Amino acid sequence: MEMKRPGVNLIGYPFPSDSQELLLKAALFHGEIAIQAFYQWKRSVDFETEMQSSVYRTLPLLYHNLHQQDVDDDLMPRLKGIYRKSWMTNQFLFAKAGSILRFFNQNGIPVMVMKGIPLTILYYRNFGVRPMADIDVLIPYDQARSTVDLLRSEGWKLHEPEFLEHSLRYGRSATFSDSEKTELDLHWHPFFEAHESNAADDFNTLSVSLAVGGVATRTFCLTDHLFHTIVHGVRYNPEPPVRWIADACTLLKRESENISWDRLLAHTLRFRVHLQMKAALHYLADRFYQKIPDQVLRELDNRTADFAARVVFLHALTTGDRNPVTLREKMYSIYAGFLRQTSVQGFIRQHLAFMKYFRYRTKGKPWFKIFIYYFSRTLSKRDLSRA
Amino acid sequence: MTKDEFLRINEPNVVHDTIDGETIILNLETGNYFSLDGTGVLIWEWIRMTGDWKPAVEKMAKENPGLDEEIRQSVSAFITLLMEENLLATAKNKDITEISDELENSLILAARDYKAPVLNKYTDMQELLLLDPIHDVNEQGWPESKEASDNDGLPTVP
Repeated sequence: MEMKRPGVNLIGYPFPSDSQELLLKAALFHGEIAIQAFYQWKRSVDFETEMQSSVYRTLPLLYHNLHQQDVDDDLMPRLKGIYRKSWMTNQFLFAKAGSILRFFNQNGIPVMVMKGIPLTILYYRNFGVRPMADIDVLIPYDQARSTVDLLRSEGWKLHEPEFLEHSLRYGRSATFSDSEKTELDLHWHPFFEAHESNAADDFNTLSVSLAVGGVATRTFCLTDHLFHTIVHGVRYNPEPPVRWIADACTLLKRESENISWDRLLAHTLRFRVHLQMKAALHYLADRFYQKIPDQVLRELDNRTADFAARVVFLHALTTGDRNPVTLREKMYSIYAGFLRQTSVQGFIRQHLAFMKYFRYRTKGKPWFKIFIYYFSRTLSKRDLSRA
Repeated sequence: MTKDEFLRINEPNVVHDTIDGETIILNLETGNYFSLDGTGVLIWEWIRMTGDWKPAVEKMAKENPGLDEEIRQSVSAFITLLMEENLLATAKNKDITEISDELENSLILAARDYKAPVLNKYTDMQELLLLDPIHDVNEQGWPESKEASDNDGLPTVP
């Protein structure tokens, strides 16, 4: 299955434009293919004006890869400066992460690190190539409220406190910042789809140890990192989320023989994300020549998505993490957001549960008729067939 | 430092990396960051591996006898600066790593065309974080605000 790759006008689509794909190949591949991709990319962009932050965040990896291949170009000193800045800011973030993890340990809160920090330490194995802006940790759901209270008592400022109750009930995380503007993402579910109470335990069973800033902690196993990278990455985002491809390729390159494809497929089916997984793995195999077992691709191809999975996937591709603007988008996001996180099975039971959720979200406001109107328009057969 | 002591990089408060012939060093306690190039990189690497800089100096002085005193004095001053900035600390013991032929040869080449090691020091981390890394950089990729671009680079010690 060849994924459609849009042009640069569709900024935010979770699969890269031609130009972004060249940049990724230059940053990830070795030999002539990387060097050719670099010069084609350089010709295709205006370095002075077109470096959106997601593209910019790929430049340290580009520098590192080209430098290892002795590429001599007038852009290299500036790329080196970007790499150097990334290395320094990451070092401060890692040191800060160490002190936060020590705080969690001292307070008896079991914690795992997620996303950039473990990927950097265990798989990129270089502190400069993956710029980071925040620290992501995962705690048990039953300690979420007490941990939020504890962080606030220590002076951490909760972003959007008005959504805390909703996030604790239906969300996956809350964001905090301290007086030094360090951002901490406190997760109690690893992703929205993992909203069942024991989902985090699943990721804990094969967790691995690592040290962050001199403090011992734990993180997902390789397979779970790959799963999380794809589920988290294959979503429309105002910032083109090209980085999931670099992360996935790095995970696959480092220790592909240690990936448990059975475990990945089991997670995929359990959390009903097989459309995302199918799109991502086919894309990685077709465009980035990653060795995905044929059996895995066939297994995904042969699965039929249920109604809720198709709604969630369509929403991920078209709206994703963008703030909805119109009423139609808002309603659609509420509906898809519910289907994304609910563990209720079956069309009728899901929609009865949704009615209850919708009443909670609207707090008795008379939006129901408006919602039904937009609901019927949004979920036309034509739209769903695109998924 | 007594004759029985070694030098060590002051980890974990100090982190460092060498890229493309340049060593970047960060003091996480003070927020100051530093860079070394040329002879400075080689001396830093020698200390990292052996904890003792004097054999490196003697090797260089022997290779360039006309500048032997200058080599001894400038490297000694360089070590003092590294200590003052708390980038190096003393240690009673050191796991000594064998010096590679590449490092020895680089040291000999550096001695023949000797340039004293320089510790470039940058004190404003906030400035580094705020500057636009695409545009506010000099030819070497170091941050340089528009206001500073008329100056001759960034502050240098000594």
